[in-house]
Amino acid sequence: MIKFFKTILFIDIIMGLLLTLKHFFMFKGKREITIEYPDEKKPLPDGYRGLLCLRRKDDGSERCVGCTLCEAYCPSKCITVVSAGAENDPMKRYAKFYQIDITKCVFCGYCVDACPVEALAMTKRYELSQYEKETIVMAKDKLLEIGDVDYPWRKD
Amino acid sequence: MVKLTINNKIVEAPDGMLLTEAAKMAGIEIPTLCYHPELQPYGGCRLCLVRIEKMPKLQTACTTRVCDNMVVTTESPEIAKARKGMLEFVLTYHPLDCPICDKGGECELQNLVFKFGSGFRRYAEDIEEYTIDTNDPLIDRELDRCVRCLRCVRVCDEVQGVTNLTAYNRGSHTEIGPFMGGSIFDCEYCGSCVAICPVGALTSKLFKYKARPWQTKRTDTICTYCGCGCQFALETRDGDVLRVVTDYEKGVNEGSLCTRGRFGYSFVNNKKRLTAPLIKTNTKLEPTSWDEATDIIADRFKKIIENNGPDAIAGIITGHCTNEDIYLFQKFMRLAIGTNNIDSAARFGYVNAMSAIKQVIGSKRFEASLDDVANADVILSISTNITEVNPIAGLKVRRAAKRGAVLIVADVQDTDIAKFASQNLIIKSGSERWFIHGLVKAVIEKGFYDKKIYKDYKKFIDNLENIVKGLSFKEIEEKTGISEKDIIEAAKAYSKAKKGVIIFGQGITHQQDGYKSSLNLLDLCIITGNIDSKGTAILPLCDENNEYGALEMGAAPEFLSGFLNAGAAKDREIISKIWDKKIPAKKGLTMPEIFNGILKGKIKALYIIGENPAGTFPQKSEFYEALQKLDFLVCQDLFPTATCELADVVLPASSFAEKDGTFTNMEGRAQKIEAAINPVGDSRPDWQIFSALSEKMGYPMDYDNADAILKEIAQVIEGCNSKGEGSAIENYVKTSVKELRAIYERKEEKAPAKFPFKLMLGPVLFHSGKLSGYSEGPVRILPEGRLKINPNDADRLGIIEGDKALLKNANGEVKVKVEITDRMPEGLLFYPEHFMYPAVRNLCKIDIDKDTKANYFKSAFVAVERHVPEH
Amino acid sequence: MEDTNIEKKGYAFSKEGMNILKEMMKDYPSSDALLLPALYIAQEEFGHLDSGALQYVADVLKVPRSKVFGVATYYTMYKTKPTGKHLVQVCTNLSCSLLGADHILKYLENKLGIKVGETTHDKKFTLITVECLGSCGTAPMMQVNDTYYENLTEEGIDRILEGLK
Repeated sequence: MIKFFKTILFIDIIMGLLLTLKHFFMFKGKREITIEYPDEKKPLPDGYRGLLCLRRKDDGSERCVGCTLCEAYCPSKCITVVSAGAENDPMKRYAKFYQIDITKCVFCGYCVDACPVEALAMTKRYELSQYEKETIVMAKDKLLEIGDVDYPWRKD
Repeated sequence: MVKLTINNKIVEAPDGMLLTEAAKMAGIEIPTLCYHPELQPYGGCRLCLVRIEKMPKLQTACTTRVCDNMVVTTESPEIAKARKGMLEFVLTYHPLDCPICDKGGECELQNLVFKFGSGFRRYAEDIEEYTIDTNDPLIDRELDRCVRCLRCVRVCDEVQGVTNLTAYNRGSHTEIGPFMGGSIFDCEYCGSCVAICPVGALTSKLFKYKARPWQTKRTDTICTYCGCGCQFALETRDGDVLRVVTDYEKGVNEGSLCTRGRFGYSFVNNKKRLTAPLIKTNTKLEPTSWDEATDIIADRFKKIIENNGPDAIAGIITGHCTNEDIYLFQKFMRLAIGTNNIDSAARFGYVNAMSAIKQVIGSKRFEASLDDVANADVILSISTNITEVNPIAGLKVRRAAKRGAVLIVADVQDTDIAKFASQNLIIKSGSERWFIHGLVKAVIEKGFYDKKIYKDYKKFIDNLENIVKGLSFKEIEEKTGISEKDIIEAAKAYSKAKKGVIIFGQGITHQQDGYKSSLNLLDLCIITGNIDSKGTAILPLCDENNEYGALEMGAAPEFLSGFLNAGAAKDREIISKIWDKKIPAKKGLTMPEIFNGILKGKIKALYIIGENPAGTFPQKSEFYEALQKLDFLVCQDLFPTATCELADVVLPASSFAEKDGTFTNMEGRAQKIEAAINPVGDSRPDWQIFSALSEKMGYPMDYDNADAILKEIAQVIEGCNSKGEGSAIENYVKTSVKELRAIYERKEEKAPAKFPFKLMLGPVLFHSGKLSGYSEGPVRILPEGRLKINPNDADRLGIIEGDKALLKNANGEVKVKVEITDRMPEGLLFYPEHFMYPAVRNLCKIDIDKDTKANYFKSAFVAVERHVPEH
Repeated sequence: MEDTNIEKKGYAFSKEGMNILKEMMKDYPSSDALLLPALYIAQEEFGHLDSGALQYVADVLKVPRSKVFGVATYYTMYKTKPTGKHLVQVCTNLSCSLLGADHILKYLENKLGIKVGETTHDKKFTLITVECLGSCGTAPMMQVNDTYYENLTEEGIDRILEGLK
């Protein structure tokens, strides 16, 4: 019976419209629903998986030892590492060439998990679209640059 | 066969088999670390612990042999615990630096710990400091990673027979290293220790930190250095050859390699490689397109054919090319050009041995296997430093000798293999023929010959007896320095052999009368009955990897494909039918004849593939001059050689790593090679170049790929075999006394009073031809040549180690560094042939063999004095 | 251990040594087996086993020199480094330690003015520690050259060293 009245009097629809109306008059800053992207940005949670970067040690040298585990683990095969021995120190291994093809990257974060020396890290950067694809195929220097900003190392 | 139970599964295994192997056969994996199928049981790591019923405690499966009714359990909580504990022991000192370690990804310890270990170590004491040594040119030693399985020490001793590595100190202080723990290995650098190390304790410097095993592409192929034809795999990444790996028990080498094979690969990616065709404009070589280069060649060839006839063009090909390349080249020369003027590197000496063998064995395909060598009961090794020239063949000899075979070594110097020999005969240089004749004489006169053979070939043996009668043992001793007793002992041992093997090398084939000496050795085989029966062999060693193939494919004026006689109309007919075009009948010129032809103006154009006469012939020789006189010289090579500088057109060829094809090793075994990388630069496989040229010459030889050529070769050579007359021994033994007498002529060479030393140029272990000089590995071990000289000679001349010596003769003088070694007899000098500078080759003169026209230029008489540096 | 320069000359067994070796050769199945006595003779004659001595033994027995090196460094009774006239070997194994081997060792170090593993300037004494010498009942103990000195006390050590000088 109640159901019948509800149906013919459009009660449900009115209730819905009332909710909309309530939100329509809600003031900014109180209980904000719409974020005016790109002028405003949503705060990101910790552990957000954004753009990858390479970190440095506290003495400013690269952390990456070129072990190639990130490349091996990467499910989308977007990482390329060519390792080499340092010329002045035959025992030192480093990545001669390091490149992440962001166009292929799925931001799964496996590479960060795999990295045994915590050289790879994920930043909270996410606006990566570019007019030219080549600019988001990132080589080592660029990744280090991002790392320097997002994970600053202590300069003594 | 015995029956045993492993994990409730009934397994049948041969008696005396190791438990690990039996389990593996049954598909049950027992983890091992120190065990390796190639090595003797050791039982050092104790990871293979299993429970065997009725035996106390857990037993090591890698040292226990199977027996009837054995009941074995390989998986149980008890065993898992034991394994975990053993792995923890192994890891007590092992650093966890897998991300940096070069072995990461293919480390046996890593795999085992992943599978069975705990990944946690309780040991918290200070860690010992171990040697970390990177001073060796090729092998890095990081002993903190060593797990003391002693596989490297054992492979060095048991398989390679070098025993250079040892474990020194004891207990947890044990380290691995050469004598006195020195940082330089100073050994044969076979690299077996690096290959067999289960962890990253011994690593190759050349591969260090270059790539992970999962990043590389693996291509099975055949080594391009010597005639052994070892099988290995190239690991490549993005067009770079990164390293060479082998599989245990694969190929003739059974997983072993020599230093050239293991470390000599980097010439492929050498920056000096030719990458584009070059043509001479004015006096400079300028890069051009393939189309233009081939156009020029075809035009000039056509013009020369028009003006001087096809026989004014000649071609020489190297023994490093594939069978397909060589086959197509001789087809190109014979049909597209129309001449038989083709020769190959085999003319430097190998042709002597093969001509002799063909003379005796006939057109039947000659096959002698290295397995025969390994299984022989008597080995006669004549005039070869086998462990240096053909190291893997040397390994087989070592293996046979270690097994108990009688090894008789005869060479002009004290060789490495001699330490395994029961008789080490050091004969005087140039007296090889006396020695061989002495053996024949001893066999006949002492009645060691095969009685059955005597019945069959009575006349032949009687003839020989008549001939060798004239030679007394006294004369032999005088000439060779070997006593009658020794010669008789050697002859007796060889003739009594059931599986007698003769190995002979450059000292016979690359010397004057090489053809006759080879025939003499074959006589020795015939009369002792060691020629046809199973397990016997006569094996000429060959220097370049496909010299056999070069002759078999017909890159010689006297041979058509399949060793058919180019002079016989009947044989020509066989191949003409398949080729559908007549083969020119006119007799072709051999290499020395080609160069003489150039001097006389008969030959106008020369097409050289992979050879470098300007860099190998002595500079004062006529042949060297001949190169300058050519109207038109085409050079096809990997590297810009001295000959390329003289050339009008230079074509870049692809190396063995960039093409498909087959190589035939010295056993006569054809083996497939596969392209591992794309051709470097704009280079092309040789056969494609011939194919392109033939099109422009108006006789298109079009093939889809190397396989198509192989199919045609199979057709041609099968055609020859079916028509071959089989064994020709019956014919050969009918040789008249007069001819035999000619075969048994001996010529003595006397050192002129002014130049008392005999200088020999020859191959050494670390290099092969000129190619290895472009590879980083061999160059690191041996960057320059050293003149080997006897200590007494050196004393007399006042030369000490490290000095420079001045070699002088009528052809000029050269300064060389000296290495004093008591391996050289007095009066004899040795210098490696591989180095362009100093140009010791210029002291030599070219000798030409009367029988096979082989040209020798590897010896000279010189005077030596100490070089006093100017200050 | 870096000394790979071998001085071949100047190493030769004395006649007696050679004779003993030849005599023994008859009793041993192979020259490998003769390695231990040969090294012992070499040590007696050359003082200690340096690279030249090892090379010489290898040449005499026709055994690979690396094998000789491995054997010589495995056994503690072969000396691969030059030692003083008296080799003082102090046991630091369990029984001796419990009864004050550490103290004995310290005392010796002070007395001789050297550390473990070193040789005095006058080349008279070399001090090393060793594992159990099987004289636990009379611990602490030390061995000087081939003689055992047991139940050590400070005074005892003074007396022993005095006697050796």
